[in-house]
Amino acid sequence: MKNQTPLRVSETTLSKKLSLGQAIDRLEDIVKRLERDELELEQALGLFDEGMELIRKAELDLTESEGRLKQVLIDRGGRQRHVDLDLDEDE
Amino acid sequence: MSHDLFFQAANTRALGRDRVPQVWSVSQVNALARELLEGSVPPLWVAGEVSGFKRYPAGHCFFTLKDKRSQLSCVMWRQEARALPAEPPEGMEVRAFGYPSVYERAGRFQFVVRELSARGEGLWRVAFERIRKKLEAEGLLDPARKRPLPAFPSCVGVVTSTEGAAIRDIVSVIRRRARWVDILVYPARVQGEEAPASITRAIAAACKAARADVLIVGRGGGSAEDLWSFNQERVARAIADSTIPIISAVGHEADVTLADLIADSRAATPSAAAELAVPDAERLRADLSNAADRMAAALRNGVDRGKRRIERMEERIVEAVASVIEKRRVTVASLRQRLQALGPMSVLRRGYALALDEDGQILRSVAGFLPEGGFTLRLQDGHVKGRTESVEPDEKPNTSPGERDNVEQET
Repeated sequence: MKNQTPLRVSETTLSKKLSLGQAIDRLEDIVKRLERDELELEQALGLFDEGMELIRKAELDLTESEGRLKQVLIDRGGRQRHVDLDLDEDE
Repeated sequence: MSHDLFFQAANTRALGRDRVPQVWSVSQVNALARELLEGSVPPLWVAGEVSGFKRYPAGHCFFTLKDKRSQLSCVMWRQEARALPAEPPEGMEVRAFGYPSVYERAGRFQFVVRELSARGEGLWRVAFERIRKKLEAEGLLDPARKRPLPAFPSCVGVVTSTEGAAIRDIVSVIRRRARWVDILVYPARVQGEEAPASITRAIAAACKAARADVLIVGRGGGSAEDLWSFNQERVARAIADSTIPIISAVGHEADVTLADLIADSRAATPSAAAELAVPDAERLRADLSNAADRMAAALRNGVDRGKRRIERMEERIVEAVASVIEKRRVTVASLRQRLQALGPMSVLRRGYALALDEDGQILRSVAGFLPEGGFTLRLQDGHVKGRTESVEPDEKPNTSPGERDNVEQET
């Protein structure tokens, strides 16, 4: 969310460059433009394709990708290290 | 010394007549009094009204407990006084646990307080209000300061203990709702003396790393004392200073801490905080499929609109072309009439004839006729073949070629 890099829809799933949030923001924008603006058919088709691609990737992201769970340890020099955090899930 | 002193004193008195009385030092007397008092009265609770509470720079606290008839000088040493959330205000009804003693240097009777508690959550409330007023005066509790939470965080930071139930609740809710979200836990002690510093450090570390899009700060429920860290001014300020939006989640429904008041969002429990932090995958899926439907509908509308436009244009083109063709037709007809009027056929119809040589070339001059040569006359209704008998040029050869030139131009 912090890096507002231009959107690219070339990877197979959403990446750090195109976060889920950005994808959904862009998707909302596309839907609104398709609904509101009188676009040239070619442009409308382009937006439609982009939107469908975003939806496909977002859905893939929702089901396929698994977030990490880490705890952050800080050493004496103030450097942060990420280590696995095992929670006793049986409780 | 202890009881030796006591017996010594008793003996001295008993044997006083025969001997020179033993003279005691002031210190010895005070020490004796202290020994006697501390040795004979067990620790006890005493109830009274606080008066003249004063904390000295070294951390020791002095005050008086009163009831209607008497006063009791009290001292609370630094070690115990540290646990006090706030200084009790004048007249507050408190209960003090401790023991009676003598302050030897001053020879003063005093009650040494180990623990001081007000009725209900009295002292906690006093401290809470004091800090709240201060933060409020600085504008830190202004609702306008509260930042919106990101709708789709990729990473949720959690400042809490890795041992409590809170972290388990948070992780399990996030995993259930939004499996793709990263969780970074910034471990912090959430109770005890080190807790405020630990929580503050963890928040600062999370902000410095700037990895998390939203931060949950909290712990599970507990007593007012357990939750006290989240009422500490430094923790409240760390939350106010955070560069990452913070959801506070301290205790259970009923507990409202300063952290809750100052955070960007407040959740009643750690689980509720996790629900606030991440979107629900099920709803997102529904939203996505809704977006697909809307796009398809919009596109269909667009296509229909385009089709209608094309149809309208087609009609107009057809109309335009038809009118052009009609105009041309009229023009062609009138041209044909004019052509016909001027053409050789109409001339022939008027009774003229065209002379052609054997190659079909128009003969414009008598010079084209060869003696004995063949020629053809074209009349309006056919041809006549003939042969030259004689050629007789005019005297003025320039009169008729002009007319013939005209005829040639019209063909």
